[in-house]
Amino acid sequence: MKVLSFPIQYILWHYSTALVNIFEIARNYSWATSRFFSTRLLLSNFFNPIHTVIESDSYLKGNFFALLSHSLKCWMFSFIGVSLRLPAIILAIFCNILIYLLSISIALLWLLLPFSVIYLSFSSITLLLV
Amino acid sequence: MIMTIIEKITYKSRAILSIDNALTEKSRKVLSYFFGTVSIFLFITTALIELTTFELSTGAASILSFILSFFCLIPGINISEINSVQVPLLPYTNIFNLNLISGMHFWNGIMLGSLIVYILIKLIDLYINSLKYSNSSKIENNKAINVSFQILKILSATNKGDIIKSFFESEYGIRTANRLSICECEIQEFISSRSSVIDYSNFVGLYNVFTLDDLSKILLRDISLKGLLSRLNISDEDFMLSISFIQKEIELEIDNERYFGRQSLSKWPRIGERLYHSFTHTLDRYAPELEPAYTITKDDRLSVFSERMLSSSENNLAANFFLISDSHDLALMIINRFTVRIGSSLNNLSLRDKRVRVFDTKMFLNQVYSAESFEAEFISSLKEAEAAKNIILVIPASAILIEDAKRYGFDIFSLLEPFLKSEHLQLVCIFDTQQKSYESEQYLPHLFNEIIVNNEFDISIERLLVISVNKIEKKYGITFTIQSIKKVINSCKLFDRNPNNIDDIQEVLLNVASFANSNCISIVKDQDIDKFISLSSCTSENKFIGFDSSKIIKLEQSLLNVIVGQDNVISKVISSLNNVFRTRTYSSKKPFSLLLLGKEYNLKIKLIEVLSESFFGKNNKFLYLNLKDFRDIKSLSRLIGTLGGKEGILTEALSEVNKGIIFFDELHLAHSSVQQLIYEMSVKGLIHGASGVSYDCSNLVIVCATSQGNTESLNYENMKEMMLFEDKIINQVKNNNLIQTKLFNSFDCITVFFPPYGDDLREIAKSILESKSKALNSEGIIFTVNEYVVGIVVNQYVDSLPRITQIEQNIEKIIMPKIREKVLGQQGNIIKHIEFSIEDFI
Repeated sequence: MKVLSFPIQYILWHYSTALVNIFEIARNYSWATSRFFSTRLLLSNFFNPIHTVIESDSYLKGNFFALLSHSLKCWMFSFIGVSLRLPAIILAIFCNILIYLLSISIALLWLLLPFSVIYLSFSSITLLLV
Repeated sequence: MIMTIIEKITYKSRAILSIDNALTEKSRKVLSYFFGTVSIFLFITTALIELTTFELSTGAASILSFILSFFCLIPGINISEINSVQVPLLPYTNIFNLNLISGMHFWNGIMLGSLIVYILIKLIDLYINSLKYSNSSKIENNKAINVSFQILKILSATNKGDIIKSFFESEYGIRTANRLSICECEIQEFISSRSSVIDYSNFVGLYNVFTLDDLSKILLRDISLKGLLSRLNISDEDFMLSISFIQKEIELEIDNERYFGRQSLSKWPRIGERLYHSFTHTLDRYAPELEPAYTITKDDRLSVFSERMLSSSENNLAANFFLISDSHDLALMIINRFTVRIGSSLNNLSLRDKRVRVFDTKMFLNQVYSAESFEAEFISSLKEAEAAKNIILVIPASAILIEDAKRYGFDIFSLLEPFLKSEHLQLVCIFDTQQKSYESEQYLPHLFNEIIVNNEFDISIERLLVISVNKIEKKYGITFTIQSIKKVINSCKLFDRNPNNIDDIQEVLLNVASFANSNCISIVKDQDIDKFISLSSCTSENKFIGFDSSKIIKLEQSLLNVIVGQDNVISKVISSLNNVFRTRTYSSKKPFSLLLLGKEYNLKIKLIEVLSESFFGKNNKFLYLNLKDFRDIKSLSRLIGTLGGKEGILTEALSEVNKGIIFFDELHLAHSSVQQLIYEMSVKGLIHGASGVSYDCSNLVIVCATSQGNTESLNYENMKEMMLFEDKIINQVKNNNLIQTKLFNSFDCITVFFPPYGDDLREIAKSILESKSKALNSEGIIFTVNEYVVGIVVNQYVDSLPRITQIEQNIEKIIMPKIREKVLGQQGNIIKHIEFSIEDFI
């Protein structure tokens, strides 16, 4: 009986747990990729200047040119920051899309796998008998 | 609902695993390899046949088209139909018009069959592995915990039938055996002689099999293994301990090797890092910035505390924390995690700009000399941190700071109070649970916004232990057996160390490792620890009878009472004594040696007197040798005697007593042969007399002194200069080359006596005058010491600074004649009361 119940168990597993597992694996890969490119960190300080320059308040107060140069510096560093972060983020998003596309195609194949086994076994038998 | 049904079904049908057992790993491999290879071989051969029969431009196109044609040949599908579909897609459409392998139906069938078997085996393999994983995660009650691949490896190897065999064949088992110092040949013999077979699936439910403890319990059920362990004097507990030790070791290795592990990630340049021009000047010296530590392995228990700190910091940007933990290292780990979390805080953006700085308490205390400097430096550091407005200042080892502040007469929290209320500064005070100073002051925690008590460190301490053991093993190239590690932890108390503190354990382990290294021991067993303990305990008994850390504290107090204004000397002597007690536990031969610099002869003698009393009792006297009398070539023979002639001064003294203090004054004047002799005494703990007799010096305390070095030029007003001055004097003496360099380097402690100044000088004068007053009291004269007398003695009204000898001279030259004068003037009175006023000296 135990042996007979095996195919049922297997089919249940194949279309429930295993399918979920495939997407869990995909999620894992996607996590690793976003970690690799530090996507969260980059998004959280996307507009931050690459190096924050802090000047004392007393120095900036009332000194127009100091304030102007300081804000210019900040703008410039922000621009550099954005231009450095953007490619990394785009690359991360592209990799993530690729991972999910692959995992969807694998999942589709996985759904067809038992049918293909049945189909192939029938055709092999017929080939042998011909 | 569906999932629970599925789970139930899987649980009930776990006997399905019998398939796994029936089809052993080896046979499964053979089957899959066989069918896989056959199918691939057939594919390739048919492709080759096609290539040779029909000329094709590219092989790749032929294989592709062949695969298509192969599937088209399956009965029921008309090739022409497929062909008509494929025509626009493939350039070599003419291939399909030829029925290439129509005569090979049989081989095609075999090929397909083998492919099916291969796929089926792979699917079953996947299913079984998935079952194992899901069950293991259920047991741990935490899906986030990684499955130990080591255990899975062992379990999958049990298909051979014998779990013990596969355990000892795995890397896991080999390392466990090494840790228990079981040699390889014995394991081989044991495995080959085994007759009984244990299969875990026969008596253990699948649900119990995946924890590590259970695995070791299952292994211990085997009688023959138990026999082996008892024959080798290894207890069951040790066996289980070693398995869990190895497990942690492997986990650590995986953590370090993982490409996406924290250690590897920390090497990546962090884009988005912010740079600050620091305003803080003093802080840089005492509290360098703490980098977010990605190297710390992820520990959920630690994260809980750091998360708590983060959430309360997000709500209140001036929240102060009172952190009590079992170990200083672990507290810092929490701070490290907190630092990482600050950087990624999304709820409060101004928190993200905060920087964590750890105050170096020990360095601060080393650089502080007096109460004034303590207060000034401490407050200026805090003020600078407050001025920066974005600093979280962590004060580790707060207990030590409290104690030191008390010594200087401060209450540290009265100093901290305004800063605890400040809105621009966050303070984190770390307390060690071992140092319970915070318990005596109940009000302390209430000054802080949040109290965090961390007492769940048992497991983490094990992890730390594994790390430190691995580090030490790598450094010295030795291996500690599990029994020896246990013994080291148990024997911590013998060395006055705390067995629950990882730092203390590490210290003892280091001592044992250096002992093993010097004795050429590669595997440290518990017997070696016994040897180490017996050696170290016997030396400490011989050297300083019954001398322990409590006596060192007493010694410090008595030194502070007797020697005024030389706190730097006292702290250096005490710390080096502590150091000697900690480190020189087994190298019994080297005695404690001290070099005193400076011109304060009286203070040096006082120091030696106190040392002699505390080390060797009240009645013990020290041997004084002024080396200015030993400058010529004959001086060595005067010290160690001549062959067949008179015995030397030193050897004669050593033949009578072998414990005590020898004081060599004016070391720089000694002849080089005498300096060589002192070097041998202080390093080897042994000298040879001229007559050939060797004398043991290991239980002596050797004190050398030299008046070299210009201590007069010190500017007392400049505190910074004062800190550097000691090093300057030491370097000056070293560069003079009057003392041999090797001798100079051999001293356990080198310290400088500075000329006393200001209040210190007055206090010294007062104490000398009081002793004089006592002497006069015995003659029936009452002499009251007041400020006028003290002022006259210390030349208060003269610009130049006096030395202590000058003070004594002043007393003899000015005060004593005056007293005699007064006594003579009041003849006839039975009690003479003498008190000077300012007019007496004008």
